[in-house]
Amino acid sequence: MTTMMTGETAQPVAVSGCSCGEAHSVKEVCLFLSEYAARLLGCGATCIRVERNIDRMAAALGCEAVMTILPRHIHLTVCTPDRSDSYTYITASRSSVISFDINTRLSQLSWELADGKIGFEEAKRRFDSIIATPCADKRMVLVLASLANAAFCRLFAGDWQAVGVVFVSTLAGYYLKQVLTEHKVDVRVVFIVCAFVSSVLGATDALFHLGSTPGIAVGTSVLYLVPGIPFLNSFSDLLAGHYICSFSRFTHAVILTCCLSIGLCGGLMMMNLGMF
Amino acid sequence: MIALNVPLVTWCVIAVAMLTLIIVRLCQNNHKHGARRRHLIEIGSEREEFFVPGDRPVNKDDRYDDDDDW
Repeated sequence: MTTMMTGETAQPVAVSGCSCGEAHSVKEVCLFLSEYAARLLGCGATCIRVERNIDRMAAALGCEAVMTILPRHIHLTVCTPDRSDSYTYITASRSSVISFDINTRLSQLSWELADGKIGFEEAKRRFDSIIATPCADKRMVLVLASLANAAFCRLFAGDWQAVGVVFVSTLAGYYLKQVLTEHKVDVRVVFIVCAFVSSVLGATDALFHLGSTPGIAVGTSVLYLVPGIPFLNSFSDLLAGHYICSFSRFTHAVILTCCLSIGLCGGLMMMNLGMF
Repeated sequence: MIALNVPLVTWCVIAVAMLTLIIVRLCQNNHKHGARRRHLIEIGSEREEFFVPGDRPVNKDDRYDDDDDW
């Protein structure tokens, strides 16, 4: 998982100029910041967010940090301000579900360390507790995602029959997504299958002539699969000059969108609904 | 004729498959958490149906006779 590249000195020498007042070596700081950066990147943070947080924490710990963020790895070097000691570490980014909660709490942790409210040891303890946070309740997420998608249908001027159909089709599709993800099915296959199921169930309105806006029901029934966060992060990385990460995220988002489209087109074809 | 039925058949297959998946998963979850399982229909004692304030709780261990309350 992780590979140590170089360690000029690994002795536990206290870093001078640290605001936390605790003794810790450059190696300890580097290992902690590497793990922090990997987790932050894994939970959906942008590259600029990772850079800022790491710089802030390294400065609070009396060090300087330079990092290269790659799509699946982070290469971090931490050194003392006088360059007398340095440590470099390469770590793989932790693939996890996107979590704004963990993202926010990790950023909060960096500010607490920077403001001198907590020391290095306390920061490590809090970090361990943050990353051990369990995911949100699946059933609650399922219901909320379905309600959100149904609300989208209403926003696009769908009638109440269409809203009900979209709610049920999203509920079924999202549930299937959770089940397939649990069984470690490839994410692209998951997107194709879920888009197909949701679009077929979303066509209930058209099939049984329930309401007057069947097209909106079908169109909005797959909106929950749109990879919005990868697209936004890709654009953010592009603006910040992280072109490799930006391109990687964009490619990933486009692939998912293509899978979504394949499933949707399959559903429309099977339901004899005109695509264009 | 067959072509006309394709959407309906597709819809039915998907709907039934999803319902089956949900029911199977619910049953599996119920089975997994057997200790907390609650039956929709079950045969119980009269005391479970009619509780008068002052009665002893149903699951309380009968360590003493009723006479001990005196």
